[in-house]
Amino acid sequence: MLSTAGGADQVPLPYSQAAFDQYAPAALRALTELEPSLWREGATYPRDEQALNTLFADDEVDIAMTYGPATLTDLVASGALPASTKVLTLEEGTVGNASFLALPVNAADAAGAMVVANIALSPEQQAAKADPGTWGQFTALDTDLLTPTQRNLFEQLPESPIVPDYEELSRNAHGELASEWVPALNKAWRQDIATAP
Amino acid sequence: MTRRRAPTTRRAALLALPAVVPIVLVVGVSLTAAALQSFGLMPFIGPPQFSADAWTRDADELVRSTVTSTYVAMVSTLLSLVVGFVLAAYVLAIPRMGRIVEALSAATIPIPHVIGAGAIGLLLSDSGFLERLLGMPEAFPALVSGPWFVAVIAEYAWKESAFVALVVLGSISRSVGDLCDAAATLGASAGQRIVRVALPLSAPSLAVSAAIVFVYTLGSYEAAWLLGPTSPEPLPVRAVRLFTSIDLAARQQAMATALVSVAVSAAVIIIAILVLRRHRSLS
Repeated sequence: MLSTAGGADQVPLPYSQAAFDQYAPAALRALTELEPSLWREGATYPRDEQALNTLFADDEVDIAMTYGPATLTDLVASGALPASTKVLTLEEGTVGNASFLALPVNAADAAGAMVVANIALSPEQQAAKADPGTWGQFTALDTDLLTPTQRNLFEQLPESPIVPDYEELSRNAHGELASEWVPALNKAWRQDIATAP
Repeated sequence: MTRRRAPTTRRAALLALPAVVPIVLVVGVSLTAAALQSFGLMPFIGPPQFSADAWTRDADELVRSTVTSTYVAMVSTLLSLVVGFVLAAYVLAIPRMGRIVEALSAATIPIPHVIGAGAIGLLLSDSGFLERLLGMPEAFPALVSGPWFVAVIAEYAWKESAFVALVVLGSISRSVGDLCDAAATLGASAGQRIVRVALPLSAPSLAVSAAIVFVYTLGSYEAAWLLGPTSPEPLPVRAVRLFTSIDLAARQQAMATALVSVAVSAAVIIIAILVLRRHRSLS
């Protein structure tokens, strides 16, 4: 939808019926036109990201998507994905987000939860999280603001033969639309694309 | 004038209470809650307000889901009955090999459906074991996620036919031997003994297991979710999808969907009971 609208800045982040009516039809049309090139020519769709990645691993589809590109290094190394796996960066940029920790307003032990959140955000933990051997998720920290010793932790991380570095991946990245967009788009997709003969 | 009930009947009713009360309580409470939620009288957020919106909105989708679920359950039940009866007949006819088949059938039953569905997926998918065994034919049919739910039905038919076979065997194995011997001395062939003796004898247990299999497959989620296509959606898949939607208002529709599957199941159980009654009154 961001692409058919002519750029990420065209579509307002908050959901409104007017914005949906303006931008969703073109996106749905684009998906319909895409059908002949899709798996089973769009007669059915993989049920989730994992099913799509299984199709990719089985060589049934040529492209798949993931929310954790840094995990690809490990998946290729373990043989779960073919060695020829390559990351495609889009000229228009990709939708990105950062994992976050939240404290419920009625948390029983808010202070304790804040300590845990601080530990999770510490450079040491973030570097461990970014290590493909541990989890392989990019850090949420701005490494330029860290001390040299802390930055060194990130610089020591192994270079991936598959995944480009964070700067290249996040070029032109843009934020996600408000969550209210999701059920509306989901329903329209289900009615117009998934159910259509 | 009403006849007074015999004291034994009352005692029998009392004995059944420990079994009946929990069932009535659990089923009653959950059905009431589901009905209230589907009509907006027990909302997850906001004030309760009566509306039949969850039933009328996307009614065509609900009807399609109902037809899909009924189709899958019906075909699965028919296949399970046929395969299950043939298995039972085989076990009775050929005792030694039959015992192995019976043990294999019994071993099938404790396998969880989600494991069975995963195995069927690995076997029948487009790049699955069967396709590799056949040497990657270009025109391998779309069994998994295909329009006819072939993989889903195969999973149910495989698991449930074992169940049907065991129920049939348990109910007729005692009486069928003597009757078949008698028929054989009167000159009945093996085929006649199966069709004229074993089949009528097992009709009540077939009817009971048909009702159980139908209701189970109608309400079962995992195989339909793992092996079915995106659309049309069987009722349980639709119910779970709507229930877990980030849009909390969709829960009303989820409850309506679940209640439709309860209604279809109830109708089938009532039909099965009526058929069984008639059968008993005839014999």
